[in-house]
Amino acid sequence: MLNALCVPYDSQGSKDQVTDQSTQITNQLNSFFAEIEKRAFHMANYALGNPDDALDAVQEAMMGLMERYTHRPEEEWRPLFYTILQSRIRDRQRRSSVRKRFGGLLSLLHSDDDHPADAFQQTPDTVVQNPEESLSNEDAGTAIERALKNLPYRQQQTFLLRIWEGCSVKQTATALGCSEGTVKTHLSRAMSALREELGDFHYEQ
Amino acid sequence: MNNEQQDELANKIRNQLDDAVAGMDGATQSKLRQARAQAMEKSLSTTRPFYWSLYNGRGRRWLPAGVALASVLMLAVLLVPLQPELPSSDQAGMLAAEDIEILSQPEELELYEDLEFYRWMSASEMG
Repeated sequence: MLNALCVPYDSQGSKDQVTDQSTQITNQLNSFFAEIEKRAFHMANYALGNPDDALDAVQEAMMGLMERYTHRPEEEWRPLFYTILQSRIRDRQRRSSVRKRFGGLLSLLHSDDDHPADAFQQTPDTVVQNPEESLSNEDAGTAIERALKNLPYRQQQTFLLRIWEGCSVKQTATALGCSEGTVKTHLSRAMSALREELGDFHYEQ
Repeated sequence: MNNEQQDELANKIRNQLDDAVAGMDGATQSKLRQARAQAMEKSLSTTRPFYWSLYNGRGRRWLPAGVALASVLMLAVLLVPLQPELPSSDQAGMLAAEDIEILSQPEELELYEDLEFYRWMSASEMG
């Protein structure tokens, strides 16, 4: 583990041992992150709706795990990583909502009649199809992606952690900072919402 | 929705998500690799203790000087308690006052000077 680096300098032998251990841990972590990073990125992107923010959240979660938890057994890395990632996602969501609130206040302060609403933007788009039509024309991937993005944050992340990532109820509860009962409720609601959203499309495929 | 339908839907979504990960575009994959490399480099540099530099790199050349300085400091710490304890200036003042008091009382000095005579007299009276 990285704590093994904290061994006093005594001999060439111990130095080599420490270097070997740290190299081994570094390689294990690199493999772990390489295996998990794509799914983690997708999860963060679903929650944040911004690839750059998602990338930052994943990187911060990697750093958080490396700085604090590498001394823990390797099988704990995955739930710990997702716990940190969820924490980073929530931080970013909070910051984003504060920014939006201040942005709204600023726009109120700066609103005046010098900038009338753009007539082009106000014109209804007659080409846009209704949801049912849209759904029948899009492919499965797009439909599922849209349905997942439409879920509330906790239902969405519960679904992804439990169904996609295969985390246990307890691990999901820890990652999301809620009780195991709440996880079950969120998952049930997420499944119902997805079924409703995907509708007949789900059975046509 | 029964369990079978639920499992079917869950499987379908899971497969779709796996396909999305497998087909991730090269640019995003490259960004993720860079983010991982940066995270590992930053974390390792903050996790390493200060004496990690003694193992590798420039810190190694300062090792002899550091050892010598530590030895001097340890020697200084060990030697200081070995010096005899001298009376403080207050204590010295008090002792000098007592000496003067004794010296200023002549009768008591005579007693000490004739101590042998008084002992002989006491012994002969008892005998």
